[in-house]
Amino acid sequence: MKAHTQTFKDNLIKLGKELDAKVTYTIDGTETILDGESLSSVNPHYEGAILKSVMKQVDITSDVDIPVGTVINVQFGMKYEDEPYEYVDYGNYVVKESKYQEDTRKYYLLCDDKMLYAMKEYEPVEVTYPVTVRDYLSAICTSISVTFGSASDTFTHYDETIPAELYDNTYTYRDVLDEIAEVTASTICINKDDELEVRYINKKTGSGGVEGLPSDYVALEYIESNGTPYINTQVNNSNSIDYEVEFAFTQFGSAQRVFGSSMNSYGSSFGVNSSGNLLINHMNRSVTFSQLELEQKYNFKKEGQYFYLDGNRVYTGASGVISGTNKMGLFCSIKYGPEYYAHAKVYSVKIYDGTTLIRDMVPCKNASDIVGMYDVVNQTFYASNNTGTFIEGDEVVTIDEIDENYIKDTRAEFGEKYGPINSIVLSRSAESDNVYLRDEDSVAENGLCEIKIVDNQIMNDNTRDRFLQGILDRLDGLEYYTNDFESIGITYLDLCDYYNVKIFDNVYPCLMLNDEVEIGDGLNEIIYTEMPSQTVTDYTKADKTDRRINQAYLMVDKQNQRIDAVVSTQEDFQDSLSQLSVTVDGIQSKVELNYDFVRETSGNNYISVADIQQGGIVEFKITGTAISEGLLKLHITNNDPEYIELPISTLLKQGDVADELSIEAVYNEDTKLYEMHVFIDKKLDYINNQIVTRTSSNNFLLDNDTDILQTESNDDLLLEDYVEGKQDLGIINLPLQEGEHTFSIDGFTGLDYYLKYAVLNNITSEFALKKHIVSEINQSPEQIGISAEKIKLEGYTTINNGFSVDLQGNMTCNNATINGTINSNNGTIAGWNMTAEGLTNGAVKIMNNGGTTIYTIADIIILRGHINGTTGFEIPSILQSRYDLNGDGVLDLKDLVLLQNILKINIE
Amino acid sequence: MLINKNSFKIDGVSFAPYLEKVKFGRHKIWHKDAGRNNLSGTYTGSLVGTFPKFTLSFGPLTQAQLEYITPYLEKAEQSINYYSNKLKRQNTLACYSGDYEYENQNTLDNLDENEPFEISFIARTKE
Repeated sequence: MKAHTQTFKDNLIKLGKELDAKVTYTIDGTETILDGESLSSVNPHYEGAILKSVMKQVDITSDVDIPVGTVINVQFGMKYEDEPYEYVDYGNYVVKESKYQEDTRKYYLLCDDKMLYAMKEYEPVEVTYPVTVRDYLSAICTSISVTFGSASDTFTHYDETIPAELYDNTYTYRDVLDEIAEVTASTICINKDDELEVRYINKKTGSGGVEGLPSDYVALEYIESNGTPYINTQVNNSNSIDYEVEFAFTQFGSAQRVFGSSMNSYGSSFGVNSSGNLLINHMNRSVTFSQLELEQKYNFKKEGQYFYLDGNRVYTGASGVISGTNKMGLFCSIKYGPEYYAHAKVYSVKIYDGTTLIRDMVPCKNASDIVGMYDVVNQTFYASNNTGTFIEGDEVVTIDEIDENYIKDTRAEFGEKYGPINSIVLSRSAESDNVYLRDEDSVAENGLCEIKIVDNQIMNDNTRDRFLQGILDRLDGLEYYTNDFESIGITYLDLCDYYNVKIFDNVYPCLMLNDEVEIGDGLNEIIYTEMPSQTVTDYTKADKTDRRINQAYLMVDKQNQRIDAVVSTQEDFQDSLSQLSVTVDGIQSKVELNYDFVRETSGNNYISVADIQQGGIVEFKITGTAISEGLLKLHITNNDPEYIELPISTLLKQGDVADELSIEAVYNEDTKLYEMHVFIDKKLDYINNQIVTRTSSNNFLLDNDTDILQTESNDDLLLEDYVEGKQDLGIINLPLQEGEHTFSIDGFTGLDYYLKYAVLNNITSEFALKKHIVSEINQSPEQIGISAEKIKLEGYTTINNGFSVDLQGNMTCNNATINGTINSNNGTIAGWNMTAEGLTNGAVKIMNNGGTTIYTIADIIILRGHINGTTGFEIPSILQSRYDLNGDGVLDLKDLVLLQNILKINIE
Repeated sequence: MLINKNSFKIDGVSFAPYLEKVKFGRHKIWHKDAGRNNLSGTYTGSLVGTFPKFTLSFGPLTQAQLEYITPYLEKAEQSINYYSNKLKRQNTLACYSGDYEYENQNTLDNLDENEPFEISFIARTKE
């Protein structure tokens, strides 16, 4: 709300008000003020919205040209009769364009506020990431040369961090400010002091509706003293002084005075004694009454000799002459100085001299945020006269009201009510990935009214739900009527002001978002607020949080030009993830599964498992006080062997019992097997750092079993320690078949068993604690890579037109180099026919039983040797037919000639 | 009002010798926003200001007198110095003037005079 007086508002509807406008600017150090003599019209206007940045503009028609780029200040003035003009400040603007109009011979100036500086391409701001939203906004202000007016404000999410640069030159600074407005649940604008401001809906008038309080003061419900600050009202006490004070005590325990002076017979004050009883001091007499309640608001009034509490006369004081110069204090009484400081709240003070009101003091804070009381009679602000500051009560909220006298009959439309807002939705991925927070009570009572924020880069990570509460806190319950009305000129309402329009008996709460003021031949103002675009989210497909597990989202990273789609689930022993990443360089898809086969179980006396892998023990502990010395046998049912002897501990003496027996599996890299290491824990007794064994109440046996220590009183010498008592009993062979087993140590009851083991599964038949399966497809402009445990191609498949596999699995290719095995029992190879029995080529055969019809030189030598009788051995009858080539039943030269003809070799 | 023979001047020249009377008007000029145009039907509006209007009635003038004053009446803008009842002092305002017509029933010379005539001067700015 622009600073103005109530008189200004009252004069707006008076007949005969006179108007003025001022445009002030400085060029080369010379200030120029254009007034109504030079200005034909001044039209400030803007179109705003919540969760957006807003730029205000003004159009001016002037006899005088103002250079483009000049910063001007615009004020509207009004007076009635002989009063001086009162101006409201419309802030500063930059002349963006100047056009000379020949018809009117005037200049038409188009001016924007300094939001204009944000209408340029974004460049990365100079900050160190991560950076808070407030510091980031400050850096943006530096970049666009605008002062950051909210640099010390704790606006919504001011301390949330932005992890890295999120924007590039496809954005303007204004775009970024829009997104920050969403993050901060605010409207970002330039205020009258040319500062960028994070603005919230303003429901109060500056003065809280208190007549006479300057508009730049903020009325408070009360001010509170903690016993130090006080106010000297500068009123001399006398018989004619009466007063009325509204107050509440916040602490008892000492004598306190709320108001008055205390100069013996000249004094008149009131407060409480140390017990909290009302105390009236008057004419050197102190009278106490019933105890007051802490934090209870009371009204105390003095009229002459009579004193009233909440309207009831409680005391009639002595008559007499009060004279002197002692002042009357507030939050104390004043004697030579202040005394009896009060721990109290004061809501109002009125002081009368006879029937004349000489002080009417209201709690407030001034334009410098100093808390005190303002005397509207003398227009004087009273701050504390002591060290310390008053504690401020709540600001007095009064909603400004415009009645029918301000509304023209040409246009007065008040439509449907928007709100109350009760749901915030953060949306991305073409509005398919939504998280929300709702005020369920309000939704049930009023129906749903949501605000959907789409694709905000700052609220785009997977913990974006952390922003929901802050935004909802700001906007929850906001409601207003859409409107479109023409007024006689209200002029003091500012962007985001919340006000009521009262037309006879109807009251319409409204929010100032769009404004067009025409100051020229008269005054006119068009105000309108449209219905925001309504969204209805399918909440059955939205979530209240971004799931840390079981996620399904599509994330668009405009800064890095990347889209990620992720679907993941996490179950007890299985994680699944499918991910698609799209960048300008390529597409990567990955599907992975992580199995965890490790299980735990425990039991007393024994432990059973139904589905352990072969050799699947990872950790096995037996705990109890009943483990004694000697041979221990681990009994494993349904196993071979069924009993396994455990190594004997030297820690356990006759009669000792162990505290814990553990069998720990240690993976051996060389053998690729788990080795079973047996450990035993035993509380050991120490005396003078020597391990001892108690043999009787005062006798201890040293570890070497020889010396006996005797103590008269051993308690102070006896120490116990677990760590030193752990003994590695070595490695045992613990063969374990897969399946169902029960583990126990026979002969010992009451033992606790714990087993961590690898469970049988249908993922792998090999021993495994975990299994990671992943398939990936990586596509770049140059290539596609496919990686998976199994790749399945169905259908007629070709590669480079030279390789194909048909639907029946028949492969055709031009060439093949095969380094491994070829298995076939059909077809041809190198002119040979392949059969299940071997290779044949006409009469020539190579059979897989060793038989062949292929001859070599060795056959010539064997046959000739046989004919010549020089081989020294008979050709076995089974080979007779091989060499009887003419089939005459005799191996002779005819056969040799035929053989040489086959081999085309003639060996003489 | 006329408080003495020199209390009304045009462009620094006292016109009292030529005048039969001066009518002082105070005209309220309203902006376009004036009217019964609010929802409550109350007459409201902005006042541009109150602008003095001086209607001068000249008596019969001789040719010489008429020739003397004519240049002052012919100008587009005149500076009128007058006594303001509101300000309670002499005041000067820039004025524009209206048409004027004079009538001769006889041939005008220094012996014969024209018929009385009027001319109005209206202040350009508020008083």
